Amino acid sequence: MVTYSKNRIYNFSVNTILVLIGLICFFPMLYVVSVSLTPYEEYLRQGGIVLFPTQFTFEAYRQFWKEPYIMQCFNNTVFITVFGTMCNIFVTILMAYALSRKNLIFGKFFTFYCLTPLLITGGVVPTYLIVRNTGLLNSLSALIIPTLVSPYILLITRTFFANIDASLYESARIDGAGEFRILFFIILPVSLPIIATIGLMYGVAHWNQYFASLMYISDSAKRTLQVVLREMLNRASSMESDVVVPTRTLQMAGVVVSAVPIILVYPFLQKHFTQGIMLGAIKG
Amino acid sequence: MKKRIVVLMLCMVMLLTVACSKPPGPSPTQQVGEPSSTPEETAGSSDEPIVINLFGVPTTIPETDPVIPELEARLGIDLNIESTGGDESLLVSRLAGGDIPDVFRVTTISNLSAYYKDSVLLNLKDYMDEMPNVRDMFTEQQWARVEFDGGIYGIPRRPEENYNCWYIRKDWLDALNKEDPATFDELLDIAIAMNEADLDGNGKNDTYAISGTYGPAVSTFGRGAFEGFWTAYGVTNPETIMIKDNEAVLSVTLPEFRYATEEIRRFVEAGVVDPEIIANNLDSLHEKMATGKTGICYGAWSTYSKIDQIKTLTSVFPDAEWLPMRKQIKTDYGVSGATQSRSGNDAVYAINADLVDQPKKLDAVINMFNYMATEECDLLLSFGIEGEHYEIDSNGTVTKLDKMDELTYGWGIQFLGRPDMLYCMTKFDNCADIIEYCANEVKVYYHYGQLVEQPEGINISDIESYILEQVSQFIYGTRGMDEWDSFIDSLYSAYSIQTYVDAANETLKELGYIN
Amino acid sequence: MHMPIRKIPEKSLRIQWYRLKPQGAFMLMMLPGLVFYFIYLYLPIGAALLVSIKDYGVKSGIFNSPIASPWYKHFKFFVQSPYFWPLLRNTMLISMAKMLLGIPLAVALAILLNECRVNKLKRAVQTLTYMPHFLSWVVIYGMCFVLFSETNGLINDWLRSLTGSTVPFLTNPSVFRNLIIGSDLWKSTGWSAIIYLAAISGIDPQLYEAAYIDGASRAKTIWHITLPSITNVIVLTLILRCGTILNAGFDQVYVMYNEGVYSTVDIIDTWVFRTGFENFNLSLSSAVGLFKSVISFIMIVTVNQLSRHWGESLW
Repeated sequence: MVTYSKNRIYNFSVNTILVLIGLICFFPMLYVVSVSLTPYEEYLRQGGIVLFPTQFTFEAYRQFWKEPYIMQCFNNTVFITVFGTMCNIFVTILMAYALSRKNLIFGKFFTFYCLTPLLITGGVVPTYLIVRNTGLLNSLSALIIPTLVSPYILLITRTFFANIDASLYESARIDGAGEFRILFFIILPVSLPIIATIGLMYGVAHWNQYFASLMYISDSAKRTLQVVLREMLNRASSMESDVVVPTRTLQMAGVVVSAVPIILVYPFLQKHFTQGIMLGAIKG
Repeated sequence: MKKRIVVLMLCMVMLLTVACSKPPGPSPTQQVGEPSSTPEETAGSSDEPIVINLFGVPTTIPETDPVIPELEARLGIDLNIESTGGDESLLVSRLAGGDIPDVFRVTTISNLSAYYKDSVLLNLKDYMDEMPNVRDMFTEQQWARVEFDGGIYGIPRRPEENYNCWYIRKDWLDALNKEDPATFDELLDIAIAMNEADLDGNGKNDTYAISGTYGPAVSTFGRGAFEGFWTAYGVTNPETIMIKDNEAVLSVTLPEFRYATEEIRRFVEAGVVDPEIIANNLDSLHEKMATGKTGICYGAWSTYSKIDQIKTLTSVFPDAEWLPMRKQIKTDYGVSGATQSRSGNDAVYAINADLVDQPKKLDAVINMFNYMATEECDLLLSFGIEGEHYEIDSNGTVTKLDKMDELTYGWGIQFLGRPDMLYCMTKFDNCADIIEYCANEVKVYYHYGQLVEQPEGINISDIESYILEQVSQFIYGTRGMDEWDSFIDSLYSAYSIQTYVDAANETLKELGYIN
Repeated sequence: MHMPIRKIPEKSLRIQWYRLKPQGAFMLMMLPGLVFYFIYLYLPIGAALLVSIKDYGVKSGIFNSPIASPWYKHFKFFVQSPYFWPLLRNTMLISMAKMLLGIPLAVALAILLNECRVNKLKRAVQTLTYMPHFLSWVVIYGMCFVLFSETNGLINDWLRSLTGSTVPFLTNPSVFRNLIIGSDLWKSTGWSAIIYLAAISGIDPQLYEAAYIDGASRAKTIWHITLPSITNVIVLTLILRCGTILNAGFDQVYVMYNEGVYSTVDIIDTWVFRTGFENFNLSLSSAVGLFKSVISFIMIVTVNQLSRHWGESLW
């Protein structure tokens, strides 16, 4: 390993820039958390400038959990994230594995078939029509099935499999193993990095998806967290006579609740993730 | 190693079974898939209440709501209410997919007319005699706006009274030893004094005397920081159609509108106008009002004078008093007041044309609307359950009980509107005098664009957003007033507003607003 | 479980007799995915084609609606409308800025992280920089408002005490466009740096060793070793981004924009949405969506052909 760190100024400037970048990323998040923990009166008194809360209260969070149907919406989001991601991983891996094999017939055609939607999409209206005609409207499956495979993630996964040492396949074949056996018992155990990677990508997309839920779900109890949050932020601009406008602290509490769970997932997958994205992205 | 594979296998097998049973969908909360098809079947049996799908209620109704169950019980129906937060795009996507709800809320007349052209809407003309209460509730002109080619395609909503006027920090005005202004010069004096006096005492020069919100005339109640300026020059919001000298015109094209804009420029140049009015929403405005960053806001009592709002507005300065200006600002062209759509600001309810094939359900829907137009139902939808939320004596005087304040979603379920004065004076009794002032003493300027159908080949909403955007640029000086004429020209050349204005003239003549 | 990654020569596969045997298994594996692709990705394209050349009516549905006269009516309307050029310009500007600033920033961040010798700092910064990726646009919109408001936002409060003047982030059209671009960079730079970081960590350390022995400074090795080694990855991401040049970020803009800033941030996608779903002109909306897709397709094929000269391509 190279350990030339004589150049102190160089190291110092690198570190300083990094600290600055870190602060730029950290600081807005800190601010949001601080606001959510500050009593509204205190927040107003400070003129909205609360970098560190001087008084603590969980009142805003208590208020947030009183929003109509909030518990169901939270559960829905967790459900589509966990279950949806599992479905995504399963279908993507099966498909990517087959596509990655060099002896797949019409391989070029299938690859083209799977990459084209990366570029050409039907748009909102036609997709809605299809979702509707397949009977998914107003059910949570509308948030899972129409996004079952992402062409981009499929591409990454396929590349990962294509990069796996071919001798693994060969030895298995000599043992007379079928393709499913090879996939499940030989390839998957060495594929944890890519599973973690695509799992995270799909998971984040599910957790944060807002638009599909807005379009396909009309039942208040089946909405997802992001829709509730957006509705809450929007209510701030409603001028109807009876509307209770959510305070800034309440809005920020909503922001924290709808962001923290997905952020917490990352550290558990971090190790595999970096490896996975590298192996998947570099064309072999 | 082995264990891991076993777990993996188990997961995969589990997923496979799910994936194979894909069509019905893996969701445990899966319900009847096609909302419009199931009720037809159930409607046949007699003891089951008829299910009516009611789409587009603009607010989420909490689980604990007692009002809708009571309404259902009284009518013997099962209301399947879907709320959209007032977002018309959700209705459009519903319709685009061919899932037409039984009853749905349409937010603009131009959309209503588009749906009519697509034969989505039921012609109510033949059913008017079956709902006499509804028929009698609205004036001929209110019916006229939901009328296309002689048929009636929607149920209007009773309009609200005017809620808007200039608001001012009365305690600041007193501290400055001034009185409510009667001219823009006086207003500018006060505004400059407020800017300079540092009345919030924070030592920073961060007060912009005049603030408010900015947006389309039809979107909200308290839509304009500048409405007080425009009306004082006798014009309505820039993107609206108004009637001037017995002719429909687009407000922004009038010379008076230009004078009003120049007046606003004078205030902006003096540095007394919040530079951020366009991005303000109600809660950021409340923050500014509460923290002494502003002292004059045009707006609605329903956004400044309710008890919890007063609490917010006085949380930093306990002595802060936000009160309406009791004098009107006058110019040679008019007196400052408020604008309102002639059509009433709110959406109308429409009925699915296909209900003709389901006479039982159609009867139930007609019956429901007819009941909604009764006083008895007004009381329920406005005030809640008698004895729980309100009390009524033999003279018909309604007394508010504490629990009434829990019904914050009431406006969303007042399907045909409400007896507005009674409602507001009862529910918001703390500011009754302000409500009366806004309703009776502030001059209302009407605009008519909502009544006009979109002519072929132009896109009204594009025109409206272009105008609003450009006007905001003129107000804040991003574009100089010397470019005003070329802006108006571009409206005619690139956006073909003449087509729109012609259509407006034709419609308004038909409706009898101009001769 | 360590696994060597090595490409094996294709020839050794070609002569195997079992080449065609497992096709059944392959098809079975691909089946769910292929069916999904067909239904949810290809059928909408077909539907879009039909809807965009017809006058779509709700009652008649896709098949029975009359064909528009002329069939390209909706395309023509859009291209001739006064908003065509502004929309195209806004879309391209935002998207190009995101790409041309985003990629160098991400590469720079990756190199900086790679140069950092303090492991704890490196890890902390890395984690902090990709955290924003996990936040939804709705969340970021909420944050922007409290930070950038001109009268009571944190940033402007500082600016006011430092310089005495404020910046209208949320209301001035051109500043708002920068906010859109800036918030996108904030959200995505850390995340996109991961891929470059991974590529850098794959560089053979012996190369650096040799350079140091030759007396090269660390700054120089960045230029002569690190950058050339990751060019292929950069080009690849560039190609992918070019294909989506007309996607300036619907989710972001739709959530964040307001009436005052349409002139600079109204993009094709938001206009398509407003036209289709707020004004009920579904055919026009589909036509424009399709127009956009076709341009994207032409773009990526062209860029891919060009990049073959550098020896990189997508397929």
